[in-house]
Parts: sequence; structure tokens; C-alpha cells
Amino acid sequence: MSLRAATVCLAWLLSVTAPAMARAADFEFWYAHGGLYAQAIDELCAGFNQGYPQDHVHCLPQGTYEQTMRKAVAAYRAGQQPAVVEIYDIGTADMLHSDAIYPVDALMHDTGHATDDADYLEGIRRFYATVDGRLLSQPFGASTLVLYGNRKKLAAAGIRELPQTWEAFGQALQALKAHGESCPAVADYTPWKMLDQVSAVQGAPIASAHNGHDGLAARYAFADGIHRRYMRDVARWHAQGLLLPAILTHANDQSLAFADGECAMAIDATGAYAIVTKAGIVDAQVGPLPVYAGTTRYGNTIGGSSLWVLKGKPAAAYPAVARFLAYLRQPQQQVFFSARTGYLPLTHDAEQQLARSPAESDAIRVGLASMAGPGNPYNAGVRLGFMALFRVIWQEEVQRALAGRESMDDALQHAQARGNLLLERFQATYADSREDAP
Amino acid sequence: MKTSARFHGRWTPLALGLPQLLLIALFFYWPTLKGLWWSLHLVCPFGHCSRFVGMGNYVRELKDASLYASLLTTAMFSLCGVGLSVGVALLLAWMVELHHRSGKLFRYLLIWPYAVAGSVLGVILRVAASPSIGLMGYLNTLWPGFWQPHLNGTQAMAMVVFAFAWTQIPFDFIVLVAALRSIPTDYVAAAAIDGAGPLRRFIDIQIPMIRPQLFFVATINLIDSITNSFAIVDTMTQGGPGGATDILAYKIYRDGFIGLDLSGSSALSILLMLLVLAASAVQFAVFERQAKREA
Repeated sequence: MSLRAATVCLAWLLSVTAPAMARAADFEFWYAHGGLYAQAIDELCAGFNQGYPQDHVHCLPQGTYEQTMRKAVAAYRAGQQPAVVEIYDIGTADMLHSDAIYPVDALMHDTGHATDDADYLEGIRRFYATVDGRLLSQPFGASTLVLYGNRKKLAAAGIRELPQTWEAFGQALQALKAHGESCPAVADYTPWKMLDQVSAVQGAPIASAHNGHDGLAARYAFADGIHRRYMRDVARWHAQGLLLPAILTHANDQSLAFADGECAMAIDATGAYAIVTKAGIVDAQVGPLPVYAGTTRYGNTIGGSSLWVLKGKPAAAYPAVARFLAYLRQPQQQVFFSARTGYLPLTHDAEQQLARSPAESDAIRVGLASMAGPGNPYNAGVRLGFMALFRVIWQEEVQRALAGRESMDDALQHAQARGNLLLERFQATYADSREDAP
Repeated sequence: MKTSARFHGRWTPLALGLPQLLLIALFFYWPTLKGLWWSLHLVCPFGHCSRFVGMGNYVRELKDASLYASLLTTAMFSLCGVGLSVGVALLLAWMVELHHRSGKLFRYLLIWPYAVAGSVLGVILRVAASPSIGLMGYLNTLWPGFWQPHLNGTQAMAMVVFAFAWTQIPFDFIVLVAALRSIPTDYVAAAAIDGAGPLRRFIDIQIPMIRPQLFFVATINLIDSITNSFAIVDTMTQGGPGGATDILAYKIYRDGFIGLDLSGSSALSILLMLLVLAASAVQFAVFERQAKREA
């Protein structure tokens, strides 16, 4: 390389790196989405970088929720952690006890951002709040379960409105089948939907100690309540070919199998509505998740992710992180994200703003309405350790029952017993750390 | 004549071996020691707390019924996988050797699949084996409800065994072709003159003469099936349905990396390492005996 070329190169390098070094605060945000969702997040980040020229956030996708959590753990152990990371709901217990976080409420207080947790929708606040009501992370992607129906197919089978009870749902499945539908309804048989959400809307306990919200002593207690009743129905619907596993559909995916008109009904997250409308094939009708006839309907809970701030970055980064979190919490950013992805708005003002805008989808409207029901100690989701492993166990046992290798009742008992061994160990692992750290 | 080259002095050989030793230390000994340490503690994922529990993790894992289910699954998977891959590779090698002219072409063609990574193959076969849209789904149009790998554990196991054999056959094939070619042609020719057909020659002359190589590929396959097959399981079945393909390597991965159960998964890793060490020890012992017999 000639001397001149080298000088040009050097000058270019300096021009590129110098502003970066001069910036007050650079920090990384790791998120756990791809596709449509990642695009929306990237646009949020670009908006922040434009509006706050003294700060700079690097938004980096890290794969699935599981991969992001795993990478955050490895990065923290190696001292290479990002300042902000998006962690899925079932990682909440791990994060609370991790001793690796800068609690978001403390961060906002320390950096002079006045925040009021009462701004959050009650269902969302309670899902993440600690025993003493603190929010140590900032809720981000939240969705809840609703019932989707293909208006044309339901009408053809003589079903006027979406079933509100599981009994009516079962009858609707029969009617659709009798009318010649090959796929009356589709499900992916995942525990978030079949255990967490179905139990929450019935206010039925999944575990003791308020589903684990009260501390590490919680143990599973779902095997002989509403969940058993529901899973017996599910097993029957499965055996009769009324509730098809997603893998048996041509789309091989629950949301797509409904969106492409193959299946007449689907129990799916509010976020799936974005896929349904984008496909534009079916006239979708959305209703709340059914409950059993004669039982009380409680407000449904959410699933999704929240943003955690990790310790150990230079002090100068945290004011910028706080500005970023405050920016994401602005109603207009929430409305933008919600309209693009189908995730729910998080705060009351964002909810109202969205309700006035044409961007509010039926799914979000129904989802928010279903969350507004009365509360009880068990409708705020679960806060339990080793949840990722427990979900594998639940699926394993339920698959066995569906294949006829054990009864559904036994499957749930086994899942509960095996889950409790995990909880015992989680409690023993964190026995020395304070109950409600930090 | 000097039969072995020797480096003089103490430092030259050490210096030459150093890069490899460093790599082994960094990627084998250090993680193994760390795993051993973790397996004796209850550790938090983020590393701020750990409690010594002695053999507690081992006792717990050894009392867990899912470990034995997983061991049984691993044994099934290994035996079927090794049997299928060695058997098919042997058959192919024999057939290629039968016809020299076309054999050369097929030798190259059959080596190609070796370049396909396990996870890529898993994704391809997962689609092919889908009960609704895959090739195998066609069976369901003939006999509705016949092909259900998402419910039927035996079918799911057949699927991963097939995928595993697919990844191993090329390597086995190369070794076995070389082995067959190393047999002096006199033996085979003499047998042919005596009137032995290709099959008789194969069974009575060729197979006995390549027994060491057969044993070698079987051992390599076995160790691979125990330690290195999680990519296939991860992409195809994730251990399901109902734990039917939950081989030990996958269980360790899932407990440690998805479940963040570092202690339990470390204890299992150490157990798995002991298992592989035992398998290797048997291999060495047999080789040793064979070498002595031949000497």
C-alpha cells in the first residue's frame, strides 16, 4: 500500500472512530426477536439515537429468548455483559436472585426520572412486581391469549358467535367437524398457553405461595384442579381429531395454520393477529379465552419479556440507559411497537392513545379487555425457578399422555412431582441469598 | 536401518507439541476441571453464589428416573445407529469393490454426504419426515394416522437413528473401502478359482480380514453417538415425543444451556465422560489383545 493510501485510510479510521470515542455514553441492548419484531426494535433504537445525540445504543439481536438468556449469563460471567438485556418472563426468578442487576426502579430514581409504577396496566405490573411491589425490570413485550375464529367457517357450521366457555368450544369443535372441517382448531400444546394462561383466567393456582410470587418456598399445585379438567378435555379433543397439533397442519405452525384458512379456530397470542392480517386470507374474529361455565372469569395475565439493566458497566453509561428506558416507555413508542407487532401497550396512557388510533387491532382490544377482569392471588402469572426445564417436563408428560402411554391424570401428577424437585433445588441454590434480593 | 525418528534433547519435542497441548488444556482439561468443580457445588447461573454439596448432585441425578430412561434411550440409539451405519457402509464398500470401473465414481459420490453438518441434515430430514408436508407424510395418505413421529416414540427414534447413520456412513465407508482394498488379491482370487461366489468370498474371507477396521469404525461411531449427536436430536425432535429421543448428550445440553442447571448438567457430563472413558478402555484392551495375537 502506498503511503498516501495509508494516510487516507488512517484519516478515515479516525473520522469514524473519533466521534464514537467522544460520545458520552455508548451501551449495548441485547434483544431476543427476529423478523418483523426485530425491524420494529431497530427502528425504536434508531429513533433514540437520533433524538439523543449524546447517547448511543447498539441494539443487537441475540436469537431466541433462551439463547439471549444463556448469552447474557455467559457474558456476565466473562465481564462482557450488555447494559440492557431483554429476558423472557420465565427468567424473571433467575434475574431477581442473580445479584447481577441494577434494579430499574432504583436506576430511574438515581438518575432523576420520575416514574410511577401505577402507570402500568395492573395485570402487567403485578406480573413483574416483587413481594413489596417494586418493579426491578421494565416490562417490554407483553401479550396475552385470545381465541381466534374464522368467521366464514364458523358461520357455515352454524356457529353465530365465538364460544365463551370451554363447553361451547367443545360443541363448536364437534359442529365444525360434522360440517366437514378437517381442522376445527389448531394448538401447539405449549404450557404457556395450556397451563399458565388457562389457569390464570380461571384464577386457579399453579403453585403455592401465590404462584411463587411470595418466594422460593413455592411448590407446584396444579395437578388436580381446573388444569386437570382442561387437560382431560384437551386429550379428548386431541383423540377425536378436533384440536390438531400444529405439526399436522400444512403450515406446520399454529398461527400460520389459522392465517392461511386451514383451521377454523386457534387459541393464540394477541401478537398472532399481525400475522393474520398480513396474510389477509381469512376474516378473523377475536374473542377472549374461554372459561368453564359457571366459574368466575378473572383478568388474564401476560407472557413475554422485560428489560433488565445489568451491573458492572461504567457509571457514565447508566444515565444514558435510563434515558433509553424512559424513551421506550413513552406512549408514542409503545403505540408504534404495539401497532407493528401486536404486543400490548404497557401503560394506561399508551392504552388510551392506542384505543383512539386506527392502529388498534381487534386482538389487542379483546386482549386488554380480558386482562381488565377482577384479580385474585393466582391470576398474575408464575414466578418460579427452573421454569424452562419445567416446561420441557410438562410437554414430555403431556405428549406421553396424548400418545396413550399414560393417563392424563398421571401425566400431570408426574409433571407436578418432577417440577417440585426442580423447585426444591432452586430454593437450595439460592438458600444463602436473601429471599427478596436485592 | 533406523526405524523411528527421534528428536534430540528435551525441549524441541515439547516445543513442537506445545500448541496442541495448549489447545487440549484450554478446551478439554480446563473445562473438565471446571465441570468437576461445578458438579460438586450448587452454583447460581450468574456466578455470585455457590454452595459445596459434595456428591449431592450425583446422588440426585442417580436417583432421578429420567437419567435411566435417558441412558436406555442412549443405548438404543447407539446400538441401532452404529449397527445401521457400519452395516450399510460395509455393504456399500463391498458393492463398490465388486465392480472396479463404476466403483471409482461411486467412491467419490458416497463420500460427499460427509461434508453435511449434523444440524443441516437434521433440518432437511425434519421437513422430509413431517407428517403433513414431508415425503413421509405421503404414507398418511395411504394409511391415515400411520406416520406420527410427533406422538410415536419408536418412529421418532427411527428418524434420528437414520439421520445419525447418514452422518457416519461416509467415514465408515472410506475406512472400509481402504480395508477391503488392502486385502491381498491372491486370497480372493484363489477363493474364486475354488468356485466361491462373491457373497461366500465376502463372508468367509473379506469380513474376517477387515475385522480390526470394522471394530475401529464401530468404536468411533459409538463414541460419536454418545457424545456428538445432539445437533441431530436438537434440530429434529428436541428429545421428544415424551422423552423418546432424549439421549444423554441432549439432556446435558438442555439441562445446562436451556435450563441453566449448571450443577446437575455438570454432574451428568462427568458421568458421561466416565462412560466414554470406559468404552475407550474396552477398545484399547481389545486392540492390545489383537495386536498381541497378530504378533
